[in-house]
Amino acid sequence: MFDRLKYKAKHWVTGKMNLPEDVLLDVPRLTMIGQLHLHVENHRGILHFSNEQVRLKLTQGEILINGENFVIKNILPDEILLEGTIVEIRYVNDHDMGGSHE
Amino acid sequence: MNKQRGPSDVKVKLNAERLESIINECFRQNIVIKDVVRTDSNSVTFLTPLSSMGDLESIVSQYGGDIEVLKPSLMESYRDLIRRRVGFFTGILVFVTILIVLSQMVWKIEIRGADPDIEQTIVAGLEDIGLQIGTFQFLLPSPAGIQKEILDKTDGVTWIGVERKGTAYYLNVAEQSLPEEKETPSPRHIISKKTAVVQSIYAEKGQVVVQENDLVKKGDLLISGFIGKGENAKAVPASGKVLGETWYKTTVELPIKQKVNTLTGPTTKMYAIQLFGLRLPVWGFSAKEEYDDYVVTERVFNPAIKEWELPAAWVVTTYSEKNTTEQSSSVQEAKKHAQKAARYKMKKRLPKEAHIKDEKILQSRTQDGKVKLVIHYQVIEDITSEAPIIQGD
Repeated sequence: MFDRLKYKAKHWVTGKMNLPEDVLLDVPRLTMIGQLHLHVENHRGILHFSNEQVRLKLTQGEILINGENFVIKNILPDEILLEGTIVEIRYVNDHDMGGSHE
Repeated sequence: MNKQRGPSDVKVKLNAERLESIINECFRQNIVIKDVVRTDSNSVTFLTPLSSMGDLESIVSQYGGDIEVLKPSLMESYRDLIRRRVGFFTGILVFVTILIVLSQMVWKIEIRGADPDIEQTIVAGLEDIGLQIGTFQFLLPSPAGIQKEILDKTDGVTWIGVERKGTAYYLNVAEQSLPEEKETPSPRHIISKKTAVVQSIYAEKGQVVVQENDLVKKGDLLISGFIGKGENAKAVPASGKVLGETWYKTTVELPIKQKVNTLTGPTTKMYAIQLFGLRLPVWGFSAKEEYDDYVVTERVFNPAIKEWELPAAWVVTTYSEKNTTEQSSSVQEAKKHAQKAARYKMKKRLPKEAHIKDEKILQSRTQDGKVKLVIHYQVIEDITSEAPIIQGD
């Protein structure tokens, strides 16, 4: 209940004060350069990594990236730079993914 | 983002079941991993710094898996390369060290604008300070310090500018031009040096007491240092020039027959290498036997570094054929020769300003194949000499 209130308050503040959402809300910020690079900030760890698919854990839910020839160029506690040919990025929410949490 | 492989990055292959967990654990522990590529279902390759290999291994063993190094870091491979080519790299190092050491030495000291004697004192002064060829520059005081010190040590200079250019020191010397000290000679007379007939008198100071064509003997007064009369009389340093006619007698003897050596033209050469004083001929062994009579000229080419001569030298010995003939000249000619020789002998004996006025052959005799001449010379020369006046006051 309290969390929900806090979230709502944050949402209200960002909306009213014109602040970028990723600063206050715990949501990822994705920067993509063509199909070549994907820079994800605010992730919470790697769930799966292969040449065709990367799954990253987020504060809420996870993100699924499909493509080819993936290479993790750099990895830091809350930042990841992915290189390869990115085809698809998809958010997967908690309720529709059947809980393969780490 | 840095795409390049760092110098300490090791390429590692990781085989494990739960790869993602290991990667997550890695960045949680701040282990830098880069360029992660999935190779097959349960292995990845990535780059990691050498320093975090230990941490990585402990994580991997914790999660169950194994790790293998595919490529050592550039640092390690260079270290191996250096280890394999120790001689080469020590050579480079030694060369660079020698270069640096030699560039720190003084190789040239040039003193400009100084007289030889002042230069000598400057060189001695510099040696006291420690500045000489071969000393290290960092052991020396700064050019300004050297300048001050050398200026204190050297007399007779107004200024010395010390300038350093690389390994050379240049000293620009400005000499003191003192007004020449005029001697203030004590009162004196001018007297005669030898027996002569006075030819001309020129008195700068003093009272002339002789006349032209007077015969004076050694020690006779020529120009008196006392001038004035009565109460005004005083002694001055007399000076002047008195030329007198003097006489000399010379005897010369010359053989009528003279040996004359002439080179006929052909020469042969012998080449040799000289090592530590030992001479090893390399070409022209029979050069010596070529002629009956010869003149030997030898040229030694000795390479030297500064004053230090190498013990090896290249010697070229030239043998030139010689022909000795006896030239017999007439008595008349021999006399002419003898007269010439006598004149030459006289000129060497006389001071520079003197000149021969006349010469007369007093006696000429031919005897035992020799010509003997006795010649009388009349010479005009300066006959002055100084005699101090000792005043009793």
